[in-house]
This record gives sequence, structure tokens and C-alpha cells, in this order.
Amino acid sequence: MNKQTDQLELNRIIAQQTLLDESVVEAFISQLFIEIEKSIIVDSHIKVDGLGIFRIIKSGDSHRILYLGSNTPIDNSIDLSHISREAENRYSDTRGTDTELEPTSSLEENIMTEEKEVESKVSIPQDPQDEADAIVIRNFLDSERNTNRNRVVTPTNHRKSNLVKTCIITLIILAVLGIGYIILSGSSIKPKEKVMNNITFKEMDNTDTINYSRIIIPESDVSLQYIARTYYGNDIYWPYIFEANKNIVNNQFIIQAGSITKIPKIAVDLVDLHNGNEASTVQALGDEIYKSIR
Amino acid sequence: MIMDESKLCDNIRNNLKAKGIDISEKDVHNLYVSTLSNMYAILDEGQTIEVPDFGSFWRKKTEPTSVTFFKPIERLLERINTKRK
Repeated sequence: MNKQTDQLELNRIIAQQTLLDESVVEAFISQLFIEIEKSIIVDSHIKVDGLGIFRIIKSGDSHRILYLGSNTPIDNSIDLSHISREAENRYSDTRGTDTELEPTSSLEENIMTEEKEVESKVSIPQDPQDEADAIVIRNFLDSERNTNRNRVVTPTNHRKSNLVKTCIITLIILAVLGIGYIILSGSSIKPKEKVMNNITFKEMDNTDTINYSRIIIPESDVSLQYIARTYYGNDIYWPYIFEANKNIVNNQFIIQAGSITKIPKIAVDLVDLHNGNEASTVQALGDEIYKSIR
Repeated sequence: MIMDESKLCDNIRNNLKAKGIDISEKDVHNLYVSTLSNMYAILDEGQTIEVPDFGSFWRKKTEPTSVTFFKPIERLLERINTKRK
């Protein structure tokens, strides 16, 4: 069995990254999953970036959660600039109190001069709190300065920027052409079904009649769609077969001959295929699985 | 339905505020990003994450792709079944 992650360890890592208290992190995680639970109950099908898709399906008399984990991490970054600014403002407030009688003309001074002034002041902290603030402010100023330095436009930078723009435009054009080709050639993002005729299945003893209607062994390689059509009457139900047999399905959505295959119990009247919305939801679920595997 | 991050973060922020924890929008955003990216990284290391009162996540590394599993706790299923009846 895999090593279990200590919840406190996760809280500690997040607290370090976000510079927040561990108790706040714990409360946040708890609240996050409460919100996810609420959404699952209301919408039956939700996608959380970086975590995956949760879907409620009816299985017999009760409901189950069908989960498809995300294969890509969340595409976002942590922004701590507000914390640096708060520290800087706090320092400025203190400084302002100390130098109330200074002329306001200092506001018009050169930014670099001001930065140097701030730096020189923060370099002689009076107590540990000031020292911590000084470090935060210095790091902030350094990062701001580096950003400004990077922003300086030179002919080389200009050429690089043009090259990047050209590359991006070329990629967009290629993507559009690719999509056009797919549309014109009549392809769809649906697993191609291997042409198979008269595939026979050997039935095994079903030891879990609550969850599975049958346990079978295909005598030759077979697609998920073929099994769905054979046992549920329509190939649209292939995601249920996939979910129950993830460990033996290959990336072509084929189950190899001789693999023990579970046929989950589902209410096949769950989806009214004459209802366009419901059919498209099942289709969308299949497409999500397909995209995540490919 | 794709969960709208800003709406989700707003709800969480309001609920935390009601519990006496007042944090800024940026802090909530940072917590959201950090939680999900760290969960992803921990699962990728082959560890299991148990979310209290919700369920367990783990990832099985296979070729050509990895598969992530989720096992809800019994009480979560009971709550869902009760509320959907």
C-alpha cells in the first residue's frame, strides 16, 4: 500500500508557500471539499482544474461517485506580491511617523534614489521585527528592479519578441489547419472501434453481485464499445466499462484477450438516449476520458 | 460543469469569514492554487491523500498514462444518497 500523507505535513507545506497560518490552511481545505461536495450534489457532474472530474451515477438503487483524475497540474501560480507590499507599507507608515516634519518634495524624487534610501534605512534594523520587514522589502525591491531591467527594450529584445510573436502566430495557424482537417475528414474525438465479429466471452463466477452483473473473459482482443453494446445494448455506455477496468484497458481502449473484465451494474435506463441533453452528457464524459488518456 | 474558481473562492472566503477567519481574495486564491498543485505533486510521488470527511485519492503509475483513483468515505455516499432521494 502507498505511503499515507500526513495531513499536517500537507498543511505545513501549503502554509509555507502561502505565508499563512496552518490553522487557516486546514480550515480552507475543509471548506474547499465542502464546496466540492455541494456542487456534486447539485450538478451531478463537475470538473475541478488540477483535481479531476466527479460525476454521480445511479447504480442499482443508490448513487455512486465516478471519478476521473486530472493528468495535468493546475495552471496557475501563487502571487505573494500583496504580502510584500503590506510589509513595505507597514514600514513606510512607521517611517512616516518618524519623519512627519520632512518636506513633501521627497515624493518627487527619483525612484532609484528612494529605493536606495529605503535600502539604506532597512539595512540598519532596530529590532527583529524590523529586520524581518527589511528582508521582505529588500527582496521585493530586488524583484521589482529585476522586472524593470527585463522590461528595457533593446533591438535584440525587440527582435526576440517579434520572433516569439511569429512562432505563436504560426502555431495558431497550424492548429486551425489541423482542426479544419479533422472536421473536413469527418473524424471525431471518439475511440475508434476495432472491427470485430463474433467475439465470444467466457463467463466466470461473479463473487461481487452487488457491484457487478458479470465477470467475463474475452477470448480475443475487444473494444470497450463492443462490450458495452453486448451487455448494455448501446456502445455509448463504454465509460462505465472503462471505469471498472482501468487497470487492464490500454490507450487504444482495447481489452486484451484473456483479461478478467468486470461488467458493472448500472441502470441502463439512467440515460434517455432520445433526450439530446442527457445523451450529450454521457458523450461528453466519454470524450473527457478519451482526452485524458490520449 | 466546470467549477468557476473565482466563485468557488468567494464562497470559501465568505464561509471562512463566518467562522472568524478573515483572509484576502489573493490569500484564498493562493491557498486554492497551492492546495491543488501540492495534492497533484504528492499523488505523483505515489502517496495517498486522505481528505477528512471526504475520501482518499491515490495515483497508480502505468504506461502510457497514470490513473488517479478516489474512494469516498461511506458517510459522503450516505449524504449524497440522502440528498438525492
